[in-house]
Formats: sequence, structure tokens, C-alpha cells
Amino acid sequence: MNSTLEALFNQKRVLIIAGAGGVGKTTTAASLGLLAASKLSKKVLVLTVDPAKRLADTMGISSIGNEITRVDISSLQSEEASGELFAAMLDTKKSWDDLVGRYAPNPRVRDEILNNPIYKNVASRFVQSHDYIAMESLYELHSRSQYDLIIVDTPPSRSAISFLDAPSRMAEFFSSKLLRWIIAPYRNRFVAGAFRPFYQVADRIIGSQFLAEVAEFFMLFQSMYDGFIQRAQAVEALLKSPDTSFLVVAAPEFVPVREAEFLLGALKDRGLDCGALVINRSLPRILANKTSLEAARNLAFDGDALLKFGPTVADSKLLASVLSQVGATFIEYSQLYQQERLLLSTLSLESGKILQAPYIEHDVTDLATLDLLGSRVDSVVY
Amino acid sequence: MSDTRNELGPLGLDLLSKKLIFVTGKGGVGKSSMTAALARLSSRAGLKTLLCEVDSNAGDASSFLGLETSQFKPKNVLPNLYVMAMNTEEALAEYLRLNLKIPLITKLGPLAKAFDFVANAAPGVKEILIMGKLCYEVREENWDIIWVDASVSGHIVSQLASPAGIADLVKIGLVKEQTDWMSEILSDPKRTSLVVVVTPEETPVLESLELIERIRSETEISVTMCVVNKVFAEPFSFDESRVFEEVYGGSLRSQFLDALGESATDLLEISRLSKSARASRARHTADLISGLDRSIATIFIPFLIGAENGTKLTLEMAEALVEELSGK
Repeated sequence: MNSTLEALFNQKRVLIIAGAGGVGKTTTAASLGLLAASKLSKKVLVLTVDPAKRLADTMGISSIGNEITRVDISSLQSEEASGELFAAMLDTKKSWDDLVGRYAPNPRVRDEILNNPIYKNVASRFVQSHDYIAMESLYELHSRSQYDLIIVDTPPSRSAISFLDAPSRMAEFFSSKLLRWIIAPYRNRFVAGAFRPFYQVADRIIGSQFLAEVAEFFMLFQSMYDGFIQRAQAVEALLKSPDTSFLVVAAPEFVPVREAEFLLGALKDRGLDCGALVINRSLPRILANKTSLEAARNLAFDGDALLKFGPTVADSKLLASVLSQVGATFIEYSQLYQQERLLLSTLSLESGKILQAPYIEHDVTDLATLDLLGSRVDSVVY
Repeated sequence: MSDTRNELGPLGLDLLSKKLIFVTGKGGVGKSSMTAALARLSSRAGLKTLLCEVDSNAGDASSFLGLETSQFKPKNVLPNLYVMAMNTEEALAEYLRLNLKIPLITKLGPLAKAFDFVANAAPGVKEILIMGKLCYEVREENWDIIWVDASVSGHIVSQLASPAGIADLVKIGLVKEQTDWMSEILSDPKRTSLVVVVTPEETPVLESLELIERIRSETEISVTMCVVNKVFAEPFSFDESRVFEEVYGGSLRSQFLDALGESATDLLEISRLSKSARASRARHTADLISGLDRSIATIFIPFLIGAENGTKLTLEMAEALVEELSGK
């Protein structure tokens, strides 16, 4: 196993996987979880947001209500090994409902919130609630101390960084003046005058009835103020704690690399720990082999290679074109490889922290491939 | 009429006759670079082109045109080509200025922030502002063509459905009154269209087919084209393939190893990889095509990395698009 990963698995309790959409975050989370469980006998939970269907099936997770399922990994470890792998898929609506249940001052308010038409529509939308709820669920699971390691896959969002700021944004939201602006006229008709310009405009745009519903929703929500603020601060503290590390995932393409660069900078600015940068879907390193490239050139452009085959070949013309194509394919791929390196060279991190996953052409959907993927991750230098 | 326009066949000309085209796809398929390339294509064809980035991915498409950032106010980047980033707050301010005759933006001041906030919280308001701004640009005929680097797969449906959907939540008010003319633009296949970008890989193909079905059943927009991006070239013909297998693992392997020495296995592995990558991609492409309605055209763009810079990549992509849309 790669030593950087081994150290992270042994020293950290929470690993947060971040990166642009489509780079294989969920696959990375699953393969690392499997690695820590099967090779280091850890009890690992992989918390994911939106896995591809077949990967979800492999992990035995469904979208129903945050249920944690045990993944059978007995085929990948010896009988006496005690590693355990669990997986859960985040259900945003259910998580919000749980949160409301926890912080509502009484059951009446709780039910009012849960039945509020705006809440039903909004739970999955407002102030990047996906990001917040992912971090919040992570905190909840972490505080139960049932796992040696929790690996969480971050939701696809506006920018890969938004989940980092989600807890503080949530705190800001609940203490904001805006909330009071919206609510005040409904609380006290004497105050209403001061807000008249706002309401005149708002009425004309979205209609007063709708605005009243929005205000009612916010009023109910404000009753949970203290609990929310405290919780958001605790979640933020967990992200900054020495127990937590971030893994940035990228693929050798323009947007993912740009996103990773941004993410590495953002982690640094916030004083958050970046444990590793994982490069997925990079072409095999044998393409950097200069001797092979030379041999490929000879094969592609020099017909003599055929002579070395001797007279046994039936269709020498066909063979010649195959050999030349084998050479040309290697040259073409090594050019792609060089382009990848050039692109990835803009990402800088301490030595040993840049890791590359092996190239796997097809979708990763079974445990054996996840195992292969995790155990072959290795450090690279660009 | 420029040269580019003359090169295009019926498929390309039909696409460029639309006024508002949404480009969507799963993360990682090359949606933003494809939008930038399509915008380059239409601007080169002599059309006054606007590329609009929707907030979930602001900056992606413009980075492919060499821009550091993009703003709400359209910026001219190349001849005939303008880029803007959608911003609901500014869209709202513009809307108020135009519709409510509120003269000064300063008057809105802190209110603008409050509105952005309500827009965030209230279902459909943000979506309707985005669609409203786009439809407004179409109605005013400010551009010959508008390309939207739209939200990734799942979110686009709620955006596109918003004019119809908002009626359920907002019963009165200006927002409601505005939805009729928007629906008319969005549901007109002559003016509005949606392009799905996909890569020939299992998950993107499955999700794209699901997305197209959702767009068909939940919105009024017609999907006209599916762009299959990152297509690998077939390294061997059918006969060559048979010979390659002999070299790779059959009767000719030992001779190949003798002739090429230590590099032999590297060379064979890469050809093998190329062959299997091509084969799996061909399989997923076949799945895609068999799952697509026949009214949806499919075009193929080769795998291009374009590491040096995004601008070069979109230029190569635009050329590949011309080739595909030429109808040859």
C-alpha cells in the first residue's frame, strides 16, 4: 500500500474527498474505504452523495433514508482479518427532517416546519443545503465514534469549495438581518412601515400570499436558531481538527485540473489539511518510457522490423500494417501522456502527496476492481 | 455569409437557425468546452453569438475562450462572440428596471440582497429569473444565437420546467404573468433547442438517456442533438485486428518479443489498451444510439486533450464540429 495513504488511514478519522464533477470522487472514496478496511483491518464508513447506479449496487446502498449497510468484503481479506466496510448514501431530505427534529423547540413547531409547503420544497435547495447537510451528517456520524475512519464524498456543487464554507454560511444565514427583514412585518404591524418599500416591490414580483408563506417558514425556522448556530460551529471545528484531512481528486483534463488547483489553494487559505491529491484516469506510466518510444518510432516508420520476423509469416503485408499501427498507437498515446503531464504540472503539493490511480478503461462497478484500483494507487512526480 | 457557413450541411444549418440552445451533460463529459466550441462555430459562421454561463459553472466555458472571468454584462471575446455569466441578482435588478420602472438600482441597495435571498429560498424563483433573462434576450432579438452552458444533468430539468411549474406556487404577481410568453419561446422547436453532450462510457450514456427522457416528459423543450465527445479512433481494421491478436498473445508473440526486445510489452500493452478502450466505447455508443429517439441527431467528436490551453482545444473542437455538421 502507498505509504501516504497508509499514514492517512492510521492518523485520521475523517477523510473528505473533493474535486470537480465527473473525476471519479465516489469511486475513489469507495476504493480507499475498501483498502483501509481490507488491508489495515479498519472499521470504515463510506458516506456518498450520488453514486453511479452500478457502483451503488456493488456497495449495496440504496437511496432510502440514510441507511448504513455493511459491504461484504470477506473475499478480499483473510478469515482472521477484522476489517469492516460500511456504506451509506446521503438522503438530503431525511437528513434535514432529522435536523429539524433535533432542534425544533417542541413537537408542535417540529410538525409545523415539516408540514410547511415551503419547507418541503426548500429543504433540498436553500443556501447550498446539500453541502451543509453532507458536512452535518458527517459530524453526526463522527460524534457517534462507531468507526475508525469515515470517508465522505462531497456533493457536486457550484464550486467544489462551497461545502467548506457551508457551516459558516449556515450560521450567517440564521443570524442575518435579511431573515429579520422578511419576518418583521408579520410579527409586528408597527414595524411594517419601515419595510414598506421592500414589500411593495416583493408583492409585485412574487405576490403577497407567497411572500407570507415564505415569512412563515422563516419564522418557524428561526426558532431553531441557537441549536443551528452551535451545530454549524461544531461542524466547522471538525473540518479544522487534526482528525480530518482532505483528499483532492482530479483527472488530467482542463476543467478538473483548474478546479483542483483552486481547491488546493482554498484549503491552504483556510488552514485545512490536504492529505493528498489523487489523479484518476491518467494514462499508464509506461508511456513515459523513452526506449519504448524510440522502438515505437522504428516500428511505425521503418519496415525493417518485419524482416526480423523471418519467413514464417503468411500475410506479410497485413502484418507490416499492424506493426506500423502498433508503433503509431504508442506514439499517439505518449503524446497524449505528455499533454497530461504538462497539464498536471500546474498542480503542486509536497512530495509524496501526489498520487496516481491506475488507468482502468471501463466503469468501476465491482469490488475486485475497486480493490485493484485502491491497492495500485502510488506516488508520482510531475 | 462566411466560409464556415458554406461548409455546413442541413444538420449544421438547422442547428444554427435556432435562437436559444441549451447545452447540458454529466460532469466530466466536456459540456463547457463543447459549448465554447459551438459558440465559436456559430460566430465564425457570421452569427452574432452570445454564450451564457449559468451560475452553477460560471467561468468554465469562458476559460475555454481564454477569459479569466465572465460577468453579467456580455463581453466581446472574438469577432461576433460575446460571453456573459448569469447572475440572478443582476437579472432581477434588470427585470425591475425594465418592468417596474424603478429608476435607480441604488434604490434597491440592500433590497437586492434580500431578493437574492428570497430567490435562493423560494422554489422556482431563481430558475424563473434565469429563464426569464434568456427568453428576454431572445424576444428582444439581441442576438442571432444564444448558447447556454447550462447546469449539469439533474438541475437543468427544474430550470427548463420552471415557467410551467412556478404557476403552482406563485398564484399571482408579475412573475406569474411573465411565464406565458416564456413558455411560448421555450416550447417552440424552431427557436429553442437542447443539445446533450455525452461520452461513450457507461454512466454518462445511462444518465444521458434518463435525462433526455425526463426532458421529454417534464418540459416543453425539444432535444435536437446528442454530441458524443471523446471518441477514440479504431486502431485496426477487422483483418488487422485478427493479426494483432496473433502478435499480442498468439503464434507471433515470441517473434515480436525477440524483434523488439525490452520495449515489446510496452508497445503491445498500449495497443491493447487502445483496442479495448475503443471496443468498450463502441459498445456504449451503440447503447446510446439504440436508446435515442430517431428525431435526435448524433454527431461524434474525437478525443482531444488540448493541454496547452483551453482556447486551442475549443478551436480543434470547433473544426471537428464543422466536419461533423458538414453532412459529408
